[in-house]
Amino acid sequence: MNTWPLALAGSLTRGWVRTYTTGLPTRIRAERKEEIASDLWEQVSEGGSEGNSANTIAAHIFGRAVLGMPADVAWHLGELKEADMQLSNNQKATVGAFIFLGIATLVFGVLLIKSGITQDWLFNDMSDTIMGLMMMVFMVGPFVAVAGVYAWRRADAEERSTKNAKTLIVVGTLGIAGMAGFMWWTIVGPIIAIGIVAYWVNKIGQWRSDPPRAA
Amino acid sequence: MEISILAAFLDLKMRGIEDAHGFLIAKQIKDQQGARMLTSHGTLYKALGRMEKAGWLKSKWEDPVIAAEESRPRRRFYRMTAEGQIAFDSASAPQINAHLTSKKATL
Repeated sequence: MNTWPLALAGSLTRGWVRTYTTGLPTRIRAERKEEIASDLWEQVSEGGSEGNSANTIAAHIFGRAVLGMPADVAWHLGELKEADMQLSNNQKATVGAFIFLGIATLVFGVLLIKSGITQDWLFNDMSDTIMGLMMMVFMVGPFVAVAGVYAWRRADAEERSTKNAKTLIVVGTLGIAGMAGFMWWTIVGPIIAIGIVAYWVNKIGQWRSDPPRAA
Repeated sequence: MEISILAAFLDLKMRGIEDAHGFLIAKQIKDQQGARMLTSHGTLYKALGRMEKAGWLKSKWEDPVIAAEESRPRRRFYRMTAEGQIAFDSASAPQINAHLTSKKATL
């Protein structure tokens, strides 16, 4: 049996589980990961014994993961509420701002590419491919920063080091700044990026003197 | 979803299986409904968690030694409780009545 489609579907599913369980208490997170790992193992084992091809099994695994995404997100929010780990108002505002920025950036990027402006204005001196890839990396910035806020909340609630979470926030913010740098001909991007960097520099300073407490 | 899961437990019970892991439940639902695909992970495990909190199911993790011996991840087994049976009976009664009424109407 060709195993790479199975490995890919398994990795994507496990990656999604890691993503949507971020920010939840360690025990709940570990249990969900273990339960899905068991389910994947059973499905591969069962599919193989029924004579299904690796591609078929992988497609079914991937389909189950994708179709369950809305329920996973709803479950995540329910568990957060139950564990009294809801985000503080400041954190909600930060997450909301990053999500807005992320979506706005994606929409803007698509419109930009569709309009053809990018060909004339941005891609004169560099390879389109490299430029496009860099833009995509920068576009991920807001989402990385949101993940950082969630990770910070979780680490804080579990009284662990928030170093990794802060790194994610800084990396995400740098992505936004980089994206804004490429859009030098707009005035909005750099201002937003500078504002965000200034906000987080200030926030990190506050963390050092007064670590955040659970809400 | 909850009714489908409880119905799956009843069928499994008739086959002598009282404790079932998530994939087995999903497979049973698929067979019962004649569906092409198994229930999605999110829908299934969210429902199982909700039902456990409601007291309709109880769960226990498999002994890690058994899983290690068979070189696979540990299973989480669910079992339907008496409350689950009551919930199923009360939820399925209106459906059975509606089914009988429509049968009578066609006769």
